[in-house]
Amino acid sequence: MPRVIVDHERCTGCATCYRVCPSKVFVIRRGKSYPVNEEACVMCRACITHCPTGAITIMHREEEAPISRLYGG
Amino acid sequence: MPSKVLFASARLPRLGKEYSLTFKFRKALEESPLSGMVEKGNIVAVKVHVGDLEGGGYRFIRPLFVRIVVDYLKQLGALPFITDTWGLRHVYAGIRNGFGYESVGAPLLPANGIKENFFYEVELEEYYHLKRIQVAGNVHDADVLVNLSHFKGHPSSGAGAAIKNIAMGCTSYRTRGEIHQLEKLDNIGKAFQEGMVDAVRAVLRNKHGKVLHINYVMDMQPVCDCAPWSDLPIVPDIGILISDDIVAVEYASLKMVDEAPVLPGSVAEKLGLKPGDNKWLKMHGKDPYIQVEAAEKAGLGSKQYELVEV
Repeated sequence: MPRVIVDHERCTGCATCYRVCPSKVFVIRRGKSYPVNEEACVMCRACITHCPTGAITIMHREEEAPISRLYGG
Repeated sequence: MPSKVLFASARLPRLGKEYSLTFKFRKALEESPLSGMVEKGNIVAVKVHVGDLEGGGYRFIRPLFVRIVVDYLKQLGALPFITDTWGLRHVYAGIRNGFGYESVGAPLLPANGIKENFFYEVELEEYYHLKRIQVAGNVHDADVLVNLSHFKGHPSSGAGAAIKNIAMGCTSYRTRGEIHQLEKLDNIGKAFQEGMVDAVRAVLRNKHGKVLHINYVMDMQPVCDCAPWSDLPIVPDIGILISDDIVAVEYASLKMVDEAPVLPGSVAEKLGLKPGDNKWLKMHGKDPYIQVEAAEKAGLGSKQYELVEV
């Protein structure tokens, strides 16, 4: 499963990620974005492309893939 | 008749610049069908993965090899540009990683616009899973495409090179998302790889006889260039393979990697892999030959190839 991280120091709560995400990963609460539906992320990276403050990072599936065992993950 | 795959080996047989991969790569380009594809004044897209956004990865294609392609295209009278997905943010990352004009000799442009909203929707008559594909606008509009791919591992398809560089790198975020969704249909990466072939069909639709595929079979790290980290390659450098047949070049590259010995200290050694193993399948649990079979079945090329070393 991908990991979606929002840096709340950069996030302005503009809801761009909420609008562009095809999988409804984000919700906006109290002026910040939260990736509450992370397991639905399809790693298209639309949120990263569109975020006006560069607040979003997506970590990769291989972190939880069989290969991660070789790295002690 | 088998498809011709030109091979420039990374091995240096004698001391001399003409035996170095850079010079052999240039020679291979001259012997390739590229000069017959490009007309004077043509705009040529050179699709290359310019690395991850965070600056963690470093085993992408060395910019010098991109420069060799660009210089040759200019000599043919073309107007080349370098391109990749993920919008303007990725252009900045690419410049940081060495793909700026000063290094590669051509502008780096986002394949589908600064926020990935520039694409053409192509509808396929025959497809595995995806009837409609959003093709990156700048790739669609280019007269010729040079598909310059780094061969490496990938958690969704075992390995990724020519097919993946087009499928995930010359489409919109919506199409990429739809292809990734297919991973949920099975555990071996079959539907995902078939979805990539659908995308390749759509991207190549307006480029009959106008696409050259180059597989950079070097620095074969376990995971994709989009990961914010790099590791030791799993096998020693092999070289560069070139063909106008995407199936032949992909199949030849996969076979050469599988036949190669593993690199000491790599995860392939940790796994106990041997020459002749399907290395990427054993590493990621996904069989990368599925995409080759699917592409051949889709009429994109042939697994019958003749390897010609330059």
